[in-house]
Amino acid sequence: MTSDRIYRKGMTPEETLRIIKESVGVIYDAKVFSVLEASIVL
Amino acid sequence: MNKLRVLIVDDEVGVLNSLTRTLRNYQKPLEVISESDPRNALNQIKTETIDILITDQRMPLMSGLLLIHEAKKLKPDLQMILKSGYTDFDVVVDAINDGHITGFIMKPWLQREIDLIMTRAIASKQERDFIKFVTKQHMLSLEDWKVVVQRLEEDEQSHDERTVRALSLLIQPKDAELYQHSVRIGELAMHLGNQFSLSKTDLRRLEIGALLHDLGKVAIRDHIHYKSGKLNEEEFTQMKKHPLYGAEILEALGMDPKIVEIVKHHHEHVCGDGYPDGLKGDDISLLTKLSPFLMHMTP
Repeated sequence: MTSDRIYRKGMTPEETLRIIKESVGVIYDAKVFSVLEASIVL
Repeated sequence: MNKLRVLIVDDEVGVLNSLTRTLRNYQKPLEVISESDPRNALNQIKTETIDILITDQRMPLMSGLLLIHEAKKLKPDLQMILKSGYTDFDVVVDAINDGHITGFIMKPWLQREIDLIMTRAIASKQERDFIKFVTKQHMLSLEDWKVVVQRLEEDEQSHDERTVRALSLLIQPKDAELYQHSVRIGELAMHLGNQFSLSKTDLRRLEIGALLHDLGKVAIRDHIHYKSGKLNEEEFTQMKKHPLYGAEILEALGMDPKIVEIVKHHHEHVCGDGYPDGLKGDDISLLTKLSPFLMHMTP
C-alpha cells in the first residue's frame, strides 16, 4: 500500500496502518494483527 | 491374530483366580494361565510363548522384581506388569526406572484399571512386533529409513527452490514491478514469521508463498493486468482468478501443498467475503492469514 502502483499513489506507513486497522476482523485476523502491531516501529 | 497369552504369577491362589476372572472380562479374548511358583513361571517363560507377564511383588520364593529382571533376560520383548501394594513403593519406583514394566497394578484393582493397563501393554507389544517385523525384512533398518526420509525431504526442498528460481525467471522480465514487490514481501515474511515463532520449514513456506503469491497475474491478459484505470466488472472477474491460476501452476509443478494454499488463498478475508473460496476465520491457516498483511504492508 505504501508504494506507487499503476492504479494508485503510494500511502504513508501511518495511513497504511490506519487502513489495515479499520479492516481488522473483516480482511485481517485480529490475533495476527495484534502481534504485528506490537512489532511495528513507524 | 492368535489369542495373546497372559501369565499371572502370585503365591496366593485366591488372588490368581480373582485376577484371572478380571482378565476374562477384558474386551479381547486372552489366554490366561496362572502359576503360584515364580521358578516354574520362569521356566514357562523360557519354553513357551508368553506375551504378557503379570506378577505380584511379594512372593516367598522370589520377588516380582527379580522375576521381571530374569524374564527380561530370557525374553526382551515380554510385556511385564507388576502388582503390588503401597508398602512396596521403592520397588515400584525401581521397576519403573529400569524401564522393564509397562504397567503397575495396585491392590485392590478395578476392572477398568486392569482394562486400561492391558490395552497399553498390548499396544506396546504390537509396536515392538511391528518394529521387529520391519527390521526382519532384510530391507532397511530403522536408521536407514530415517536417512531415506531425510533425503526425500531434502530433494523436495531443493525441488521447491528450483521451481522458485524458474518462476522468478519468468516473472522478473515480464513484470519487474511485481517481482520487486514480491521480493520485498518475501523479506517482510521472514520478519513476521519470526514474530510468530514459526518453524524453519514454515518460515520457508511463507517466504516462497509470499514470493509467488501473484504468480497467477502473469496468466491474466495484459490489457487487464496493466490497465491504468479502474477495472470494469468483467475485467475484475478475470483479475480475481489470479490466485487460482497461481495455485494451479504450483500444484502442477508438485510444489509443497502448504505453499500452494498460501497462493490460492491470499485474497481470502477473515469475514468470509474474500476470494476464491470465501473462507472464514480459522478456516484460513496462520501462514495464509499472514499473507494479506504482507501484501499490504510491503512498500
